[in-house]
Amino acid sequence: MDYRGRIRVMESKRYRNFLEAESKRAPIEKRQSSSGRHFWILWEEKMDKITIGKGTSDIIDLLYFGEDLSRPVIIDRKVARMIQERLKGLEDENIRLHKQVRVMKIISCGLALAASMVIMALLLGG
Amino acid sequence: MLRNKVMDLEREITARFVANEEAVKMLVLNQLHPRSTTLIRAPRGVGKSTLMLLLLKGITGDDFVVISGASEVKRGEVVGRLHIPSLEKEGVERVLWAAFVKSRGKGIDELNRLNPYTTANIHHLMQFGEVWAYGQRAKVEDYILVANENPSDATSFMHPPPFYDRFDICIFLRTLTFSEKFRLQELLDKYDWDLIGSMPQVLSFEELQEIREEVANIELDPELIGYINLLVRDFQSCIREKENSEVKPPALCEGCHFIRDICGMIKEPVSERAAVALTHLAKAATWLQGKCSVDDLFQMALWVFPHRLSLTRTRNILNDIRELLEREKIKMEDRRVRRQWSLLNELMKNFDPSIYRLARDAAVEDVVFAEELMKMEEKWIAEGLLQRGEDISTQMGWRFHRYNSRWRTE
Repeated sequence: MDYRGRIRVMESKRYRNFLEAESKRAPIEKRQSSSGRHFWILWEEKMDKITIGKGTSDIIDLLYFGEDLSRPVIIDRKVARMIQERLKGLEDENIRLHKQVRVMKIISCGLALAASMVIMALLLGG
Repeated sequence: MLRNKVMDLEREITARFVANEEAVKMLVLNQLHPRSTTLIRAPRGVGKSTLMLLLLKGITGDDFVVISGASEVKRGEVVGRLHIPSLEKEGVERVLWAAFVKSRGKGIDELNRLNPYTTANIHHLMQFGEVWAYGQRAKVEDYILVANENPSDATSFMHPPPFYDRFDICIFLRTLTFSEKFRLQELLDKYDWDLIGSMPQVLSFEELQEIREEVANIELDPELIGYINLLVRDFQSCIREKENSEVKPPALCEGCHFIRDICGMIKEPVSERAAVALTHLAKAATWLQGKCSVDDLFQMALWVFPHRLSLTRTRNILNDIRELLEREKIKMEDRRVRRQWSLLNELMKNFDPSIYRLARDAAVEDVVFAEELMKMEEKWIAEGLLQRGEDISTQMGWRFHRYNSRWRTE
């Protein structure tokens, strides 16, 4: 199927109706710049407005750029989820490494014991 | 009138069945489309069979047959048997179709113990609305089918995933809390320890069929249809085409751009039947309550998805899916905040480089949106509006397979 076939699928009336309905629910605005050469695409977000004080309010700036945080800190849900996922991953990794360390300890004890027995055998034999 | 009867049915069931209100609500809602199939999963002794019988009695009165996987169901006995006198006297093979085939209400107790032969017969019935025995076919009229099973039953047969996929919904029941146990004892006393016997027939099957016709004629809001498809697509899409891959997540996801996305948690994706089941439920809810919101859809998805997918790591399937649905809600909200569908809508009307750049930024973080945008990119490149190399497909190394329009990563 070439691109024409795939585009035809996108001409479904219900699909177009969905896009239209979403556009009405969350509209965008196209405004010409003062120079008249460019356009601005803008939209207004009525939800989640907050007064931002001194410092950065973005937790990513704190984590990656070491900036000071302002009084309110905004964590995007996606970022929060990402941090949560990473913590979970680190915890799992921690548990896995703990197990490995335990196994290594047992192995090294065993090796030490075996080595001492060999040395003892050599000494006694010699 | 008919709506009241459906509400009465739910009331009569909840009057005899303690707790699990949401499951009962979904169970009733799922009966409002033709050839409805419901699976009830729960540990032993929680009331799977009781709930199944209450529903069957409430809709079909005495016109129901329950077969049990735990009993000795012989080969073919569920479908029909040969009429021996006809064969002996006339040499004609006449099939006597079993009561299970002819009855309006069909119940299967302990589905997991059903032998593979019977399972295959029931699978065929659910798929084609007909049964076969001794080379003869019988069309099966409209019905309701309710089955139950205890997934942790050690004597289970491993039924194939496509068989479970034929069940519209799968509801899970939980054990009763301390106070709920008192309530159950009161109910047992009230109904003289015969909850099933006390259940009246609230609806006739003819009335149910009338309802099913009305529900089928309900026109859903375009937005709701869109969200059903989007929800299902988000639980299917994989940039590395996991459904046809020999390697499954999480191994398949190593180094993938979308490793932290929902797709990375799903080993086997849901089928298209999930969208059909959600549409039926949304129509039923609209008919019964006058509306169905996106939040209602998420609630329904919790009962539509569990038996249709497998996760990379399952602790408690219901809680795991609930968590994935929460993430899905955030994803959908992100799409709204980024105005993704509005941008796509504008682009479909006219190509605009500044709108395209915004859409491309969004597509890098959203497989489903990228799929849609990439279809348009091909057109724009062919029309000379976009240069090859500027498109997301080239920049991210994602391509469509020419033969079936699917993803290919480079």
